[in-house]
Amino acid sequence: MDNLEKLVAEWRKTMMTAPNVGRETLNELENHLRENVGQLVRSGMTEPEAFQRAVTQLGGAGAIALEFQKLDQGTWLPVKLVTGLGATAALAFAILLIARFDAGRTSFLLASHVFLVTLGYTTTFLVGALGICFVGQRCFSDFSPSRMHSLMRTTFTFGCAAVSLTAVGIILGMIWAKAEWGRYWAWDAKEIGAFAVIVWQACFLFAHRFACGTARGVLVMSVLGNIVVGLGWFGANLLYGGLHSYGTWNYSLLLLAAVVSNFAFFLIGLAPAGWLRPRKVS
Amino acid sequence: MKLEKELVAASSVPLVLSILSEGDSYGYAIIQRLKELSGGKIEWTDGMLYPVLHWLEDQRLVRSRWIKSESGRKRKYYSLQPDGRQALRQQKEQWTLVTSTLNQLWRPKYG
Repeated sequence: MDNLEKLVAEWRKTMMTAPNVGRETLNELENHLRENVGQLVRSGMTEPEAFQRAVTQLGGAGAIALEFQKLDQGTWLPVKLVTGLGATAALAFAILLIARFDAGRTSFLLASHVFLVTLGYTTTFLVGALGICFVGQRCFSDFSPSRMHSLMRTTFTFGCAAVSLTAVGIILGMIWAKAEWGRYWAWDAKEIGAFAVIVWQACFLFAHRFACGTARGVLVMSVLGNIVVGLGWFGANLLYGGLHSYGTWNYSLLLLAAVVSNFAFFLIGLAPAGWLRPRKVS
Repeated sequence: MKLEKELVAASSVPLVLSILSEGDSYGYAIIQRLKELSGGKIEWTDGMLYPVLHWLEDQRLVRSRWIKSESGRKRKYYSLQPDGRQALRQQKEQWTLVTSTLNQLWRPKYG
């Protein structure tokens, strides 16, 4: 039996090199292989012979991967757009801040803080944008399990990036604030906003990973992230912001409209899949 | 007799749906049932069944769940869904039409 375990382990290693064959599929194939080996051994074959025959009957890693590749529907267009937007935003913010830093208008610490926090907030908006696209398409048709899985993987990756960028950005900001303003944290409107955003990002990741909620629930929930970041980032500017006050124009109505529309998308996301799909007249 | 690749591909969906219409099953058992029904004449490369099963699941024609077997290992069982029954009905109509047409064409002629 030890020999069989070694052979199976070797086979798994080879199969893992095949693209499009995930861990769950590999477990399923391994079960098949073991059942076949068991059957062949009962019919009188030796274990190594049975294993070789079972592997041949199952097919090579390349051939199986090729069949699974045919199932791949390609990346969903909104995921491509959001990934592109994220990369463009990161590049644009970096160029802008390097220009300011070079001109001597910003210290390196402050530039890094602004860059990371802005990117962290933007990434949360991008997750929310994917949530809106999900809600929009789901009104007409439900998502296939494979597309849902890929969407969940993308939002989790973006969620991890958002919380990491925001957390490091806030820490750098605190260090800068201590040096320039004499305190790390003062709970002014902007800081409360930042705290709310990072708590939201952590809750989103927690729901994603550990909560019992469905994939649909997590994706619909991501729309609420737009409201939290909107209020934490732009809403805080409208209040008295203490040292963080930048004296910006009054966009409260615009912000209110954004909050209301995002909440509307959240509510729409609770409706059953395909509720807007035209019904066939029989 | 070895079936041509195109025919194997075209018949895989109705065969799997039909086997699942007998009751929930898992990959290895589906292959065994197919061999039994065809007297061992229809031979698939076993690994080719799984992309078909996953495609059927993607189309929501079947649903899967892992169940612990007597041996202690988990097996992934597939069960036919209402959309799958509907698809099977359509497949039956189409294949019946093709086979009845071919039967008429190939019937021995007398006189």
